[in-house]
Amino acid sequence: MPILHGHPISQPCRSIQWFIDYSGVECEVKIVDLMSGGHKAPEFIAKFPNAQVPAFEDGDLCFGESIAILQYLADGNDIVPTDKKGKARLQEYFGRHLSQVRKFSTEIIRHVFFEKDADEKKKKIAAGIESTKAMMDSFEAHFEKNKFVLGDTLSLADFMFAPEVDQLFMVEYDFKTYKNVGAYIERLKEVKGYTKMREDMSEALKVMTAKMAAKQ
Amino acid sequence: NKEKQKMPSTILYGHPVSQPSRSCQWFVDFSDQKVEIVTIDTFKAEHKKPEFIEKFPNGQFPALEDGGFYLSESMAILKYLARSDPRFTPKDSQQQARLDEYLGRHYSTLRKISTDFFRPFMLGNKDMIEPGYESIKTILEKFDARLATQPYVLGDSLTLADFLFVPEVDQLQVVGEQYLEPFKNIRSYLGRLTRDVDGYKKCFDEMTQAVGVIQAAHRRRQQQQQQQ
Repeated sequence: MPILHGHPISQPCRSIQWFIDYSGVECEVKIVDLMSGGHKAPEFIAKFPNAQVPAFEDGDLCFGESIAILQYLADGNDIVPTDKKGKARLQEYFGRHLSQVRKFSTEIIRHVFFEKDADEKKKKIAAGIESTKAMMDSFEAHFEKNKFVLGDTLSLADFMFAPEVDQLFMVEYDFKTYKNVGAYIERLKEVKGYTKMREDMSEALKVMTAKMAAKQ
Repeated sequence: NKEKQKMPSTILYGHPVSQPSRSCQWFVDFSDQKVEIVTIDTFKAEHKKPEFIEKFPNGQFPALEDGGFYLSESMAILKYLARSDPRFTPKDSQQQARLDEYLGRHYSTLRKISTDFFRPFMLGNKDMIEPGYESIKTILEKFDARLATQPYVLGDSLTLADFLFVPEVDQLQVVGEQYLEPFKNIRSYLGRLTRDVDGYKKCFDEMTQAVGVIQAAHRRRQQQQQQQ
């Protein structure tokens, strides 16, 4: 059976875990203890030289990168587009995700975990919210007329996108202003596996926060 | 008589200095496809004008227009252009995974060559060049090591990964020969591509020419400012 190595605190890991639960695809999930440097252990690096999660193995095949893992697991599932335009739109979203949408994590959420000074944390989070505002505005406009990221139907794009935006509750993000994005997140609760993914994340966050507090 | 329908045209909008544009344009030339290449006038911010934004809301290039279908993101454009080409169709899920793994990593690793090293050079931020170079050395070393044992980025064959990879690394020598010098396997890889792969030499030459034009314009502007 293939194995996903990950951790629910990582957005791309959540994307894949959610897809596994949604689709019922056969895949074992192993939690990597990131806080103890599990991703830097020799046995891990031997298979996954980039020392990152999510990491995936299927027999001898070992690779990383969430868009690669997600597409590999989704192969054969109805959710995968088969027409040239549908395929192109999905790849277009992946490109945008990697260069832009990831900024919700790299420019906002990372400070929650990595910035120790309370004032600096506040400043950096505010700066990240500002720098990602235009992007959020464009998604707000998008969800005025569209139910999901690529239109009327759930797609792999939603699996990548949702964990980037729904985590913003961690910084008390103003979802009142972004009511369409908020409604989209609510809508996802009807999708199999989504609520469990959110619960796993909340639980992991609680554990991490407690550990970080204990260290200080 | 059936009226002959006008062939919908395919247009690639880009710029010869933009690395992802170069990837796509090189692929068009390599694969000999009927795609019109339109260079965005960045001085006039053509990509921010309403006519462009209407088709491509993100205001970015490269951008592809195919009949009434509008597509952005180099990764998507490359896959779309290559969709019927058996040479670029991964033969199994393993090969597909390796390609997608590269595409995923490209943004967080190779792209830094442009953002942290090449862009400061183009903007004339001389004091950012050395620190930028330091920050990209590790990724260059990794790929240099990889190219010691295989001819292309993903193995024995040219793939879409090479089309994305090359316009990031070949810029090093434009900033200065010394920057590419330590990476002999990347150098010989680029040499092989120049010799053997259709469209690459043209892709590189157009870039160096365009860099020259931009830098000349900067110098003129600086001179004018100094005279005022």
